[in-house]
Amino acid sequence: MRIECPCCGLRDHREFEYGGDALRSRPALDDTGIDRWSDYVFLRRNPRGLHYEFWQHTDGCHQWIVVQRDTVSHEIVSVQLAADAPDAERSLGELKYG
Amino acid sequence: MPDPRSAPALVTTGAVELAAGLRCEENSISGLVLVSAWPDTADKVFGTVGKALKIGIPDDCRTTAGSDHATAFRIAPRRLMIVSQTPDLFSSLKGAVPCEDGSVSQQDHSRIRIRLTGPGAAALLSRGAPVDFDRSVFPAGTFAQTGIHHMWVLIHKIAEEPEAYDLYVLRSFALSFWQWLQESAHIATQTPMGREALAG
Amino acid sequence: MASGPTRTQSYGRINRNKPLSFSFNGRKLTGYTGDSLASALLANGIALVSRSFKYHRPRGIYSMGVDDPNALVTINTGSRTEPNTQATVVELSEGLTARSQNCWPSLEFDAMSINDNFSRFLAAGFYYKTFMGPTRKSWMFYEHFIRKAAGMGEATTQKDPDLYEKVHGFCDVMVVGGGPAGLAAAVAAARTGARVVLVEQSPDLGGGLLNTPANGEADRWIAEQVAILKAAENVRILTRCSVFGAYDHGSFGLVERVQDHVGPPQQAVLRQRMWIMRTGQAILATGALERPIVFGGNDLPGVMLASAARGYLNHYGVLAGKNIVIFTNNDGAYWAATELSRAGASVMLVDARPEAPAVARTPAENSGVVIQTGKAVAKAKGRKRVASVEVAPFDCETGNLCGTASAYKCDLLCVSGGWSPTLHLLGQRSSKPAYDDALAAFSPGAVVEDGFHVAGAANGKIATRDCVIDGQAKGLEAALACGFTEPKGSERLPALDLKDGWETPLRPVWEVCDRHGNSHRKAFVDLQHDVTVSDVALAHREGYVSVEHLKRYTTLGMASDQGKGANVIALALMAKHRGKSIPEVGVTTFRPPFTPVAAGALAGHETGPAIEPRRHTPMRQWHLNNGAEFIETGIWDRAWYYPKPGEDLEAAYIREARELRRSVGIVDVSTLGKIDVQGPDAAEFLNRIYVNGWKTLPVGRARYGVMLREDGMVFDDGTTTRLSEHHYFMTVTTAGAGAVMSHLEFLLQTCWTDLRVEVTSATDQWAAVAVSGPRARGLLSSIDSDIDFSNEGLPFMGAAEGTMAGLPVRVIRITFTGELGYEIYTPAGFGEALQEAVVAAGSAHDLLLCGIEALGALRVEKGHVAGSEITGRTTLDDLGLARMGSTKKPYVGQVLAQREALAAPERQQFVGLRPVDPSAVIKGGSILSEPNETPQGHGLGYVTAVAFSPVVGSTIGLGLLSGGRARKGTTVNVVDTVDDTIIAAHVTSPHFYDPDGEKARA
Repeated sequence: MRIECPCCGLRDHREFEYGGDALRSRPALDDTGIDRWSDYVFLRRNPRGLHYEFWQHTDGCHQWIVVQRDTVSHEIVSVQLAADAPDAERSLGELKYG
Repeated sequence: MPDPRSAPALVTTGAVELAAGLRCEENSISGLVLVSAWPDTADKVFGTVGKALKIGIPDDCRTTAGSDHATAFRIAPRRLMIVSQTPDLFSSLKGAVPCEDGSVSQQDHSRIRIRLTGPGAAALLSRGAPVDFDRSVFPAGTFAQTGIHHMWVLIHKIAEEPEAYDLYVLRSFALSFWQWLQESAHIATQTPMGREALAG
Repeated sequence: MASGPTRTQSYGRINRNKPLSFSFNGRKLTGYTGDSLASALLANGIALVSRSFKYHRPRGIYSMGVDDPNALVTINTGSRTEPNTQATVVELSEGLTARSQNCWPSLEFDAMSINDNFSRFLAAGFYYKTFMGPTRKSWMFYEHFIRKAAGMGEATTQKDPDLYEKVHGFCDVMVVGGGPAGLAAAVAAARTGARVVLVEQSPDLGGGLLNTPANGEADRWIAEQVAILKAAENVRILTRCSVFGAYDHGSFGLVERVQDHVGPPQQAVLRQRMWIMRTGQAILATGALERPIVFGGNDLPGVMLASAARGYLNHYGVLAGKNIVIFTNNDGAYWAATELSRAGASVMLVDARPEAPAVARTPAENSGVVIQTGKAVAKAKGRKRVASVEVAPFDCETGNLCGTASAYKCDLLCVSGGWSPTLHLLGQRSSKPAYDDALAAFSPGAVVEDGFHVAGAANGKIATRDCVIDGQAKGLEAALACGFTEPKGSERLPALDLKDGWETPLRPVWEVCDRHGNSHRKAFVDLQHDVTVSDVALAHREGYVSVEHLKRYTTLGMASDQGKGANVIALALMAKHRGKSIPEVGVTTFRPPFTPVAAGALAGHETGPAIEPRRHTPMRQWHLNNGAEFIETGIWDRAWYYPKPGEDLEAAYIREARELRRSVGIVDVSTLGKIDVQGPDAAEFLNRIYVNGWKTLPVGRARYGVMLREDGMVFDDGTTTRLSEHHYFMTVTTAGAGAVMSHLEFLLQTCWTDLRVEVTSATDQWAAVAVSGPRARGLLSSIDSDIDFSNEGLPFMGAAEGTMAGLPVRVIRITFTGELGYEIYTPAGFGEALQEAVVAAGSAHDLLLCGIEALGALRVEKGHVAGSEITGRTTLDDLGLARMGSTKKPYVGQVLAQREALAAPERQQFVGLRPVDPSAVIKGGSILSEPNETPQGHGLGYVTAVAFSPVVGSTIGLGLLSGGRARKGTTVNVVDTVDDTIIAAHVTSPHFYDPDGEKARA
C-alpha cells in the first residue's frame, strides 16, 4: 500500500504504523462513565468497505493522520492530518455511511 | 569544553570508498535544534527564527531553505529542524522564542550526519529507502524523512553533479547505519561489473 | 540413437561457436551458449528427465517455459543445491550439474513406479480418506514413508553462500513482458517522456517472436525496438527478471536473476535482486500459454506442446523428433508443422476440426505435412517415451471418438489445445477474468482494475501484427494516464506483420473420450501432481463441486507450476460434470508468486547479524576497552558485566552488586527513553498522563510517575524533572520509549489539540550514567563542578544543571539500586568523557564498574517494578502502587482501572519470594502453586525476576501471585516445569532491602 502523507507526499506503508478505527469518539477526560470508556477502548468498527482509520507516519513527520480507506479494494479516498480532523467531523463521516 | 566525539566507531573510520567514486564520511554537526510552535503561534515563531538566522522558512515538508551557515528543514507542519555552524545556535533561538509561544529543543548530539558523494549514491540508498530519487521529484535542495533497514533517516540532497547527500541518522543507530551502507555497497558490487555496478 | 531429437546445422539463435559442458545424472554432455538446460538435454537425445510426483511415471520435457509441469530437476551441488527447478527455465552454463529427482535407485529404473499399478488406491482424497477421522493415528506411522515416496527434490540444509539484495524502484509505466506487444508498448510509452521499466523473464527480448524462424523480419524488428529503448535515458530494461506479484497502489514484486546464468561461482556473488517496484501504470504484455489436450498416455516423454517443438527448433536449433504427429484444434499448430517439416522431420497433422484452414494448409502441405482432419489422438503409447499414437475419427461436438483407430509410429507427439492469456498478475488483483468463447479461454474482461492495461496475446490477440498495434495503443494510453502527452508530429510506429493470424475458429477440445464418452484411465490433467480426469470426476461424485474445493481435494493446480496449463482444462471438465458452462463454474483465486521465488531473494541482506539494526550507547567503545561483556536487551546492546580474570557472569554480577552497596558503582543508563516536554500547558499535560499529581512539583525537583494505558493497565513508569516553569525532562523505560512517545503524540494530535505542549524525543541527545552507593557523594564532590552535591544542596529527588569536569550536565538525585544515587546526563558526544572523568576520580573511592546484570539484581533486592512486571496485564493495585493513583484529578486509564473485576482479591499481586532452604535456587519463569500441590494450568502465578542477593544470602525472586499480599508469611511451591524441580518459598514483601528508603535519602 501507499499512503499520501499530507506533509511528506506519497509514501510506502512500511513508513507508517497503524492506529486503528478513527471514528471512535473519545470521552472527555473527566467523563466517569465506564461504559463510554469501554466502548471507546474496546469497540472497533470492522466494516467491509469505507473505513476511517488512524495511521502515524513514524518514519517521517511523526504526524497522526486519518486515512479513509476501502477495506475491500484498499483504495484510499482521503488523507488528512488528525489534528485537522477533529472528532466532530469524523463523527459526521460516520453518519454518512452509518 | 572538549569536542563532542563521534558516534561509535565512525571517528576511527574516516572517509570510505564504497564503490567506484562513491564515498561516505561523517560530516560533523555543530548545531542542531528542533523548534516547534502551536497552530496560532507558528507563523510568529518561525518568522522570529528566520529573522534571527537570516534565512527563509520553507512552506512545505520537502524543500529546505537556508544560507551558508544555517539550513531549515520543515520536518512536520509545525516543527523545524535547524542545522547550523553558528556557535550558540541553541541559546540564541532559546532567547528569541518565548516559551509561551513554542518549544526549542537542543538536539546537536542526537543525530550524526553522513555525507554520501559520487555516482551511485541514489542507487545505494535505493537498497533501503522506499523513496523515489529521480531528479525530477527529488532535486538538490529537497529532503525526505524515511526509514532504511528499520532506522529513521533524513536524506538531504545537496548537489546533483556529482550526486551528493547528507544523511541524518540517530546517534545510537549510527554504527548500524554505517554498517548497512558498507554491506549494501559490498553486496551490490559483487557482480561481473564489480565496483562499477552501482554507478551503472 | 537412430531416432529422436537432433541439433540442426543452422536453425536457432544459439551460439554454436561457444560450446558448454554440463552434466545430467553424472553424464558429461555438451550444449551451446544460448541453450536452456531443456534444449541441451533434448539436443543430446534425452527425453526421460524426471519421475512424477505420486505414481513415479516417466516424464519428459513438455513445454519450453515457466509452464512446464514435468521437467523438474535439481541443479548445482552442495550449499548451492537447488531442487524442483524447471529445466526449461535454466540457462545452460559451463559446468552446470543437473540431476533427476523423485526416483530411486535411478531415473531409468525407479522402484517406486510400482505406485502406478496401485493408482486406484492413491486417487484424489487418498490422504484425507486414509488418515483423517478414526484412522488418524495411522498417519503418525505412515507419514515418514509417504513423504519419502511422494516427494520432490531435497533442499540443502547448508547455509546459502550467495548474496541477495532488495531495491526500491519507481517508474511511470512498467511493461511486463518483452514480446511484440511489450516492446511496442515500451517504445510508445517511452516516446512521451514517461519513465519506463520493461521487464522480461527470459534472457533475451522478443518473447514469442524468438520461437519463429531466426534471421528474418522478426529479428530485424526486435533489434530496432531494442535499439530505440536502449538509447532512451528514460527506459530501464530488466531481463532475467520475473514480476511475481501485483500488490496495492501500483506496487509489484520482481526478482532479477543477476548471476544464475553465469555458472557455479567460486565465491559469494550477488545472486538475485528483488525489486519492489512502484508504478504509475502497468501494462501486462505477458503473452499467452499454449495448453494441452488430455488423452490416454498424454504424459509420456515425447509428448510436448506444439509451440514448444516449434520453439526448440527456431530458438535453440533442436529438432525434437524425426517422426512427428501434431494434434491440434486451432490454426496455430500449422506453422509449427510447416517449419518442423521444412527442418527435415516427417510430420502428420491431426486436426480435430472437420475442415483445415485454407491458407495455412497450403504451405504445410507444400512442405510435406500430411493433414488429417476430423480426427483426434486417442492414445499415446510407449514405455519411457512415445513410440506410436492411435488416431481415430472424432466429433468435436461431443468430444468423443467416433470411428476405428489407426496406429502410427512416431517419436514426438505435439499437442495444441488453444492458447490461454497469461493473466495471473491481473488475477492477483480485484479484476476477475472473463471467459471468451472464441478463444475458449479466460481473457481480461471488460473491466480491468485502474492502473492496469493488458496488451497483445494476453489481451486475446492472435496475430503478431495485432499484438504490436495493441501494444502501441496501450503504451500510449498508460503514459497519458500518468499525465504525459503524445509527442507532436510523431509518425505512426511501424508494425510487424508475420501474417500469422487464425482464419478458422478454434474448436474447444479439452479431453478425448472414447465412443461411449468414457475417459482413459491414464489421462492426466495436472501432470506435476498426477491428477487424472478420473480424479476430477471422483471429486465431483463426492460432492466437491466448487473449483476451490476441487483444487484442494485433488491438489490440482497446487504444484510448483500452479497449473498454468491444467487449470482451464479442469474447469472445463468440472463444468461438463455439472452440466454448466465454464464461466458458471468460475475460476480459482490467483495469488503471488507467479513463478517460484527463492526465500533468499525475499530476505535480501537482512539475515544473520544484519537481520535488524542494533542501538549502541555513546560509551560502547569505552565499555569494550574496559573488558565489558555485552548483552542484547531488545534493540540495544548494553554492558552486561565486567568480569575479573576467572569470573563468570554469576561471580561477576554478585561481586558488582555486593560491592556497590559497600562503596559506589557506575552504570551506563544512556538507553533510558528521554522526552523533552515544553509548553505553558506542560504541567496540565503531565497531570493527565500520569496517575499522580504534577501541579505542585517545583522547579529543580523530580518526581516518579506511573502511566496507565487507556484500558487502565499500567503502561510505563519513570522520573520527570521540572527544569523550568514550562520545561520538563521525562525519562521512560528503555523498552517502552517508542510506544510512550507514540501514545503522547496521539493524545496531543488527536484528543487534546488545545494543549500548548510539545513532546520531543531526546533519547539520542543525552548520555547518562547512574552513580550510586554510600560513597557516591564523596566521589562526585571530588570532581571539578559547580554543583553542590550535599544533602541540602541536592536533596533526594532534587535536580541541578551545571558542569562537571568541564562538561555540561544535568544531575538528578534518583536511584534504581536503593542506595544514595545520582543520574548524570551529558550531551551524548561527551558521554565517554563523562565516564572517564567519573572513573578517574573513582579510584580514590573504590568505584566499581557495574553492568546491567548487577543493576537488575539490585532492583530485585529493592523490589522496584520493571518491565517483567509491567506486562500490560497488571494494574496499579496489582503492583502495590494503588496509593499513587490520585483521586483529585482525572487521568488516562483512570475510569477503566475501576472495573469491578480488576479489584478481585484473587488477582495476581506483586510479591517477594525467598526460598525456605537458603541453598535452593529460584528460577525465573517458574510457576507458583499451593504448598504440596502440583500446579494445574497456570497455577497461582509465576516468578517474574530472580537474583542472588548478597544481603539476604540466597536467591530471591519477585513474582505475581494470586492474592499475594494476603499470603505474606505463608509458603508456596515454586515449580520449574523445565527442570521438573519444586522448591518451597516464603511469600514476602518485594522490598528485601531498606524497605523505608532511608539509604536513598541519606
